[in-house]
Amino acid sequence: MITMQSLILLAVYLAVLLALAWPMGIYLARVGDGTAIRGLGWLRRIEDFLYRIAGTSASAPMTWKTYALALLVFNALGVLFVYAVQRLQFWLPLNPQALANVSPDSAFNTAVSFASNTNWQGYGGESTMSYLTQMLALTGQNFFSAATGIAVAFALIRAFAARSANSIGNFWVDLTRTTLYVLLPVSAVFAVFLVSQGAIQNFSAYKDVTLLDPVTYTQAKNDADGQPLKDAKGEPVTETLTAKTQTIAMGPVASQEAIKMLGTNGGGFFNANSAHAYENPTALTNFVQMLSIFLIPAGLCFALGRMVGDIRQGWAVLGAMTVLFVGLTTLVLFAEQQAHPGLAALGIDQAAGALQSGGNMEGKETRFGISASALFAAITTAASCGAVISMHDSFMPLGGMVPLVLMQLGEVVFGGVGSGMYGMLIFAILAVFIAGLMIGRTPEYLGKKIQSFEMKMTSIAILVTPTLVLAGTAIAVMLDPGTAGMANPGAHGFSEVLYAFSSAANNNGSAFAGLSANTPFYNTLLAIAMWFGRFAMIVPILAVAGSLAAKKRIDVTAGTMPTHGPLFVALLVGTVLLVGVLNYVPALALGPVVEHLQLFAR
Amino acid sequence: MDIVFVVAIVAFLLVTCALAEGCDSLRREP
Repeated sequence: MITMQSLILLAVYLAVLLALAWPMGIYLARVGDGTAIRGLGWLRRIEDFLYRIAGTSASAPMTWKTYALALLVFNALGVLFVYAVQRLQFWLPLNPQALANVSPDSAFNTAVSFASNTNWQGYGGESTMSYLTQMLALTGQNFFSAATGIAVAFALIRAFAARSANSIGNFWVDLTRTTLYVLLPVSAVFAVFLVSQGAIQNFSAYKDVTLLDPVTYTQAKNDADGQPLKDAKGEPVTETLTAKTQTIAMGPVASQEAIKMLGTNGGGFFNANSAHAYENPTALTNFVQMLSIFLIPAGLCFALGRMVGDIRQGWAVLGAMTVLFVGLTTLVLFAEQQAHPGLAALGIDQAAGALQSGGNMEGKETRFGISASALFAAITTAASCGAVISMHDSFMPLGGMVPLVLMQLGEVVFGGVGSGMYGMLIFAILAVFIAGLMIGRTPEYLGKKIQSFEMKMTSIAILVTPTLVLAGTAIAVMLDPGTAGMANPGAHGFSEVLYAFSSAANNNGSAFAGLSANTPFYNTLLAIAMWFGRFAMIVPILAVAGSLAAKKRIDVTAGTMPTHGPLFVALLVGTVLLVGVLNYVPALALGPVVEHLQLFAR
Repeated sequence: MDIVFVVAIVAFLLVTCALAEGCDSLRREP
């Protein structure tokens, strides 16, 4: 049962998103085309100044391989920089809590995580990272990883629009223009809005406050590695504590929060991420945060239409994304509104009403309820954001399967900034190839012939992430260090591991957080999945861009398969579902599907 | 320990560059 509130929230969300995405698309097309933007001449002067000091020229064209090499070296240097700052933070300024240097394996994982736009966090921000690390290393990479994704999308779109060109653009120009014209100004406005709503932005030391009512509680004892201690019978060892004071973490939160959402990064300043009141203070900030995740991915659909000279093509891609999003969001809203059979057996009222949102409220904020929590979960995993306002690990089995599937589709349902667009265009190439096989014509897309080389590269790009996810999961569940991190035995423990690798390889960053993943084993294995899930996909996509740019544009004829109508939208949706889900059906059957059957068979 | 992870990062870069080289060689095939 889905409540009317959920449906209204979803409808209003999509309507406001569409209204904002249209002007954003016009703006992005100008940024991607390299044309001057009226009224922003002062930014153009800054842009030219940056090229001068960098020794590059805006007009210097790059082949796809030069573009790829620049992108890879830039991002590898970013990883090294973030690693170094974490390992030296104790001796660096802006560390009022005197937080220790981050351990080597955690620093490695985090550095790869933020450079790959994944923002998987094995650590808790307020107990691990100094303000300098958060601002200089992590927030900096939030901008650069987002700009990298958008740059690749621009390069691929321009390749479709190009006529017999050797160049796909200039990486430094794409990176600079995206950061300067899009990410920085929108983030600045967004951060000020967040502060106006109650998000904090300061360099204060943490505040100790006295509780009005001391709290006595029991908690599990952990060993030095953070793993739960167990007694001779295998039961968890617990201790009873009384808290009279609470430490309130401070910091420059709003400036990181804005780009965290806008750049589909998702790595929270605090461990509780957007469930924390200093990151996401009100229902209004929550709605705006949800909008900001999809703003650039949706805007890029309209930018695609403008840059290839046929706005209907952008609508078709947006239509396919929206169909997939609404279908899967409806499923998670339904699943989370269900009464939990274990609680129903105890006679607990789980019906939606005037005083409660009902449904499965474990791991959710009462201030957000089922509707906003489930919608946020769908948005954050459809895009490669990974910010959370509820604990996905506590979702119902089918409710938790939706975020899992949205990631496993390859993060193309709106997807990450840039990465959603280039991922969906790769699926579109596959769709026209399949259609070409069916009708016996050489496939074409957006005026370019799709031939053997493009299909080889498309195959690599599509198969990289399932290979990393399934191989990584298999290794983890076979080895003791992998199974040691599971919080639950059986099917749900498997789901936790599958979720971790799906999240890492698809650069999402959210987790079934019961998994204790801040160990050398998971830090290393997930870093491999994150790097290659990002860059081993970008390389063949840039190769496709290079090949397409060199081709002539073919005029539309009576025999050309139209790629702007509902038939193509259906074909594209079918291709994404068939290719995306079929890779994972056996794994999903062992995880969330078994959990669902076990839960409702009792 | 730091040297291990720094080498790993450089290895990531080199493997991905090798992938680019491999993709390019596929393109040059007749």
